[in-house]
Amino acid sequence: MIREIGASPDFIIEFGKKCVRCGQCRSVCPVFTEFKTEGFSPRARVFLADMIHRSCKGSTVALNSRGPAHIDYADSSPDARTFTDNAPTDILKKAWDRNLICLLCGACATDCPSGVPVCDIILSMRKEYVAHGGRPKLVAELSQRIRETHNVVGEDNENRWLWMEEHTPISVHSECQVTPLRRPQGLVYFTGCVASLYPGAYKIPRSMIQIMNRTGIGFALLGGEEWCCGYPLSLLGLDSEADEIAGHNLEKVVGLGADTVMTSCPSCYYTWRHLIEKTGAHITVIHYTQLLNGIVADQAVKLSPMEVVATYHDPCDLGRKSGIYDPPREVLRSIPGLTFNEITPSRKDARCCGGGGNLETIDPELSRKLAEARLSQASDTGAELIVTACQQCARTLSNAARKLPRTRNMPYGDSEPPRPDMEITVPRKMKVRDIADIVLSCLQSP
Amino acid sequence: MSQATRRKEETVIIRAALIEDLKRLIGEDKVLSDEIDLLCYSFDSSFMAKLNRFLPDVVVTPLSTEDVMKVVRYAYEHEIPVIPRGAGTGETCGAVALSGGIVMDLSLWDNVIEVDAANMQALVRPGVIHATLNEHLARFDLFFPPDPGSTRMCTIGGMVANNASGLKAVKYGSTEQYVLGLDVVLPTGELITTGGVGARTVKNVSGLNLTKLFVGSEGILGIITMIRLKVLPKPKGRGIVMAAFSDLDHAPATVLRVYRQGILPACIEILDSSAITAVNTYRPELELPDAEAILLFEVDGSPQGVEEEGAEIARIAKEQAVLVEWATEPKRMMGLWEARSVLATAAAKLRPDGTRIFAGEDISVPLAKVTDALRGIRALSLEYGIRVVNFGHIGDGNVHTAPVLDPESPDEVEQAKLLVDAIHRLAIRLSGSTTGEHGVGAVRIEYANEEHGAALRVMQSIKNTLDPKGIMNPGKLIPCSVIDSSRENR
Repeated sequence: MIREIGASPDFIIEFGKKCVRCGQCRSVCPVFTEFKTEGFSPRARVFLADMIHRSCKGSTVALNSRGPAHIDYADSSPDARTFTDNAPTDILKKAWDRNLICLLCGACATDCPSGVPVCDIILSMRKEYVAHGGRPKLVAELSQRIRETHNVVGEDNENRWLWMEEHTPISVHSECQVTPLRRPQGLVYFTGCVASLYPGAYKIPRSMIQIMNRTGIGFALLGGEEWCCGYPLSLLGLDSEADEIAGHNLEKVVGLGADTVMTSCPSCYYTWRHLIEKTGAHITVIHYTQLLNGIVADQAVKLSPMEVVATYHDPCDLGRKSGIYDPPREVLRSIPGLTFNEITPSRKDARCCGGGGNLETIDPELSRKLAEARLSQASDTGAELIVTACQQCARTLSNAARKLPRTRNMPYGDSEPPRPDMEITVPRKMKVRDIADIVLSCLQSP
Repeated sequence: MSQATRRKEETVIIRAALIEDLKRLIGEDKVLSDEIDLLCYSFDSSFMAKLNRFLPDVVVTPLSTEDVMKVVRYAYEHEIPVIPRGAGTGETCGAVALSGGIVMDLSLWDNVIEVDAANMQALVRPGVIHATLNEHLARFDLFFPPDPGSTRMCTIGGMVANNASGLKAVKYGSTEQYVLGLDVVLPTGELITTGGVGARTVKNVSGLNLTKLFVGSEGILGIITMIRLKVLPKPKGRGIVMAAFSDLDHAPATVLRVYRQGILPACIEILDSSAITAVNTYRPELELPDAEAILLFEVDGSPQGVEEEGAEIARIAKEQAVLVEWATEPKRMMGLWEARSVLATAAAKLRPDGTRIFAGEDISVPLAKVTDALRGIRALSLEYGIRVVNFGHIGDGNVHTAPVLDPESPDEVEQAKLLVDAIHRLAIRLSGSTTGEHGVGAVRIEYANEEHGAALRVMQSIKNTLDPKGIMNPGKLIPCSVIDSSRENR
């Protein structure tokens, strides 16, 4: 697996006992705020994982169970019992299934006063599910697709070039060869499955290579030799498969003699960071927002004005999980005419767009509702433009924005009609754009 | 077939009928009966719930008064316990089913029905989150003053049922001072309105004050379905004074001198040396002075009044404090508050192999006895070998203690139980109470006789009158029987 997590009963029990079940996680979990029943709260997920693992481990810690006599493992007659001899297998399966309905956005863990790493616990549960032979259709299909095609879409991997072929002309710096596997100046642009293969996201790599070309930054692409980074597999508990394909990518990058990998996808960035940490390879991993910020800060380019009120949405894998908050904000603040209004919550407290943790695949309707909630927060800033630095966030938010009504009333009253003075700011139609796209549109001709 | 097996089969059949009946009454989507959901409602934040698993038979999530009335009528007819629950953030086992029954999760019913700005009132359903209500009120420059630490997740219904308060109780008091009226579904299923049917007054002395009876009744007298709250204008100014003392006794003495100057801060918090050590261990960069106590005063009101009161508090504190700072700049205020706000985390992380627990965490003592309580708790901590972190609302005598232990260690668990009992008894000995704001629930019920004496019998009579079948949240707040006759003539 890319990132070592303590996928063992001991690991889960260790943190299970630390959870004081204060419920603070209820206030930050987007999934819980949608369902609102305790079974979807992060603390309940931890509680169930802890209970199940005590059972798996054969814990001898006696728990006093009181209550109705209808459930085998909660018989009210004995005062004390263990879960050793009557492991609740039905609960196991249901808990694992329910753990698929999680964004893995990390908001709960970041906010937890007891320091419980809820995401790692859920990932451990998912991993165990697979290890115990659990392969829901989603997992099986994704695994097969990536194994056979090396990308999440299931297309011929050579199609990773298509976004370039359709984009002409490309001004190529003399030292910058976009031919695959030729020695670059040192930087490999790892475009990621979505940006390379979903036409709706082509704009991101197209913008980036034009910016790099115009600023004289050399780079190489892996093209058909770029495989999925492995992140979607590790999210579903398929760590060994994720390791395998991540190893391929590392081998190709090292083989090129590159010293830097740049990603535009925050999940690729997160995965590469942990891969380098784990392998000790001498590769620097950067996100394209860092490169853009460097370009802007060096005044390597002049930006033309853009009269717009904008806000920035922190992608979970880039912000909360990787600590990159300022570079994209600095880029936006450097654009003349752009008024930057901070969204609430933001940075480490930012709310997920609804597209994390493969949720869009598992429950598209829920994902859309969560995106709407984020759009509503963006609307409260007065911004007409949401800028983000993640193709998944852009997609989730754009799709939701298209379906939003122009106005709505707050539900002041389940017994009264809405009153005009109770109307609140409406989630207006908002545009969602990628930060590279914004920078490119502001680039003045040399 | 053995008798036990037969009894179990009968139970399963009865429960299946219960679930089907409830689905028919309020709709399938409002009834949770899967084991995985029942398990998730088997706990709150108490240490007692960590050691026990309290499974309900079924969970209902009503979204109207009619839903609540239907469920309660059914439960009354069939003599099934009903346990109202908000966000389940309590620390007393107050919202869990001690012996099965119907857990009624009211947190989904979260409408702010109306903000009546002209009359400075708000009408809400029980599931509204405290912070959400204040977000709504802020649009009208109003606020609901009680401010529990759980503001982001606790519900107004839960706050009313427990008469919750928080940091600012010194100046603004507790929830009861803001509840003007309630809609309550009684255990028989009948709906009543307290505070006057259709009334929108702040002052109203007509009839017996039933509102006060239900506030803090912890769900043993009925289900609160609507709450009419008094709200206040939001203060424009705010400032914080921090003072560090080398002698613990200087802290309450300073508080008293501030009061005698006619100043009533919004809150006065204390961190004793155990809390200072915990914060410095967890966040050394905060560089809290190595003191016996730190006081944090917050003043609010008009900007001019804040400046005057803050400066005066700082002057008084300097008479005995080794360090005093007065701040009104938002960033610096946040920095000063950080020592207080990281305490929960600091206590939790004090032991890598353990955690803090919620038990014995909420005693209340007279202001003049706060230092006795703090010293007493520290001595008990040594006696029972369980580390504690002490902090609290010194302005109103409410001391919060966080025992830190390994809950996997049976020895430590046993010692913790003894420590908690001793802390509760210490509070009573100091003319205080076992709970200042968190409530009794199931965890402090054993002290009811000692705390209330003959008054407990009156409480019991009220309970029996309103709930003759004893279905409402059984086993909480007051014991079903027994009065210690030795306390009656105290």
